[in-house]
Amino acid sequence: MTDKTILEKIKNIVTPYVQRKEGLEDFSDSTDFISDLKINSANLVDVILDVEDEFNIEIDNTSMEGMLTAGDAKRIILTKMEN
Amino acid sequence: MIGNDIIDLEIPISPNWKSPRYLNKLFASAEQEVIIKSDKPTIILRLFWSFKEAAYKAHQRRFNLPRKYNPLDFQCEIISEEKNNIQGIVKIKSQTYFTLSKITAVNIHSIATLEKNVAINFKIYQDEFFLKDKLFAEYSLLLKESKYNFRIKKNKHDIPQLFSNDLLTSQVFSLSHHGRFSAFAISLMNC
Repeated sequence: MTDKTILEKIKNIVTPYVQRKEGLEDFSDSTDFISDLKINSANLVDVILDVEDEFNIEIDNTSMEGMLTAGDAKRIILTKMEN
Repeated sequence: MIGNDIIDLEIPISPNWKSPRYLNKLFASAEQEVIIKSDKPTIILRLFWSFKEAAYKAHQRRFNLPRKYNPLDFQCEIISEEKNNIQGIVKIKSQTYFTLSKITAVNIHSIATLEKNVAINFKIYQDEFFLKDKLFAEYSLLLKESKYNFRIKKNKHDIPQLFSNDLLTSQVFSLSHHGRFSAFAISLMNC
């Protein structure tokens, strides 16, 4: 799976929770889930569960702590998929 | 230090809320037990979430910490319940924060403070799109300065700070938005 495919899948996962839709227009590694997309912090856990299902991985609590941007999510997914 | 959090009860809770996968990512087993055993679990779940969010803000500001998504590090306990006013504590590592919450038919609002019984001013608004203006008006009264002197800028950790005439003040406040509601809390110790 390429970086671009992973990023595209992350974008699809977060879209239902996004409160600031303009933030999706230039979706990239640096897109911040909370400050750019205004995803409610209570919904971040839903994003994490959807990521686990989509990529068939388990995101432990330490990884979850650092999942603030699309790039963070991508790196965590890539690491977990290698294992 | 203070933090505050408002929750609009009209916004539905995650459909996953009953699944252990969901609960285990947000709540310790003792918290889950209180939630599940409650006669209104979706309210208590959101109450605990607001405890954690308010304490997170107070804690992050106090130590100027980078942002982190670590809800499990914050452990909540209800200390007293009187009608819909709830007092609680939140522990993170060796630190303890005190919380005061109010549950109404439409929202839950929580404030977390480092000390118990500190002087705080807070306001909750519905359909208010200019919360910062409301905060500036409040500071204008408290500090006897024109509200046009005030600006809010975020520091490198995204923590909002109050500036007066472009000079950083030591004012301690917290802003929160959710759905139809917004709220601020101000510590009156520095005013």
